[in-house]
Amino acid sequence: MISLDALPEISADLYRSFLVTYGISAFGRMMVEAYKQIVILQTAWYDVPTAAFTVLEHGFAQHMLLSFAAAEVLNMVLGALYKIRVRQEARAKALEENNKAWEEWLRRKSEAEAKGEPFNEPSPSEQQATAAS
Amino acid sequence: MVLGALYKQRIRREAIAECDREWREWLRRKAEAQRNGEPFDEPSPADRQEESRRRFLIWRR
Repeated sequence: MISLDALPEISADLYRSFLVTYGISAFGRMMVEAYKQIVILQTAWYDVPTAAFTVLEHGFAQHMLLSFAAAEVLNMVLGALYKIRVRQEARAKALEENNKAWEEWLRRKSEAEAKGEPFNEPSPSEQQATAAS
Repeated sequence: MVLGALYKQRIRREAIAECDREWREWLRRKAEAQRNGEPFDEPSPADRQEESRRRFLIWRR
């Protein structure tokens, strides 16, 4: 069973694999076009300008595809770096808040014990479990 | 944006669960030491985390 928590990860992975496949296929198409020009058509010297125009014509589409692939690779790298940063920040903030809650609870508990009073306040983790349920 | 928020929420939940586990373990060890009449000078999870953060910052410098 896939939990809802995993959905963002799964969609990101699917998107990433789509981009990689798309980039590889664009590169493959470019290679096929170059092969056609050089080997199959055996372009003669007087056809060079025409061939150049043809390559330019194809080249534009290939350029678009390749730039898209390159931009998406860059996007992936930057996305990964951003994800690491977001993770560190979210983690640090959560830890700081949680530690503060535990320290406060511990302080109140020690005070109550020092005074000999009963202390039945639930711990921060119990409070969160109650709030979640 | 929504995916980012969900991701942050998950990271937050994981970090809190991990932190709670550390605190519970530390409290258990502290209570055990007090029951046995042994001295307990183990730093709290908050101090430990702060120490590791400081070490990381020094290492990164």
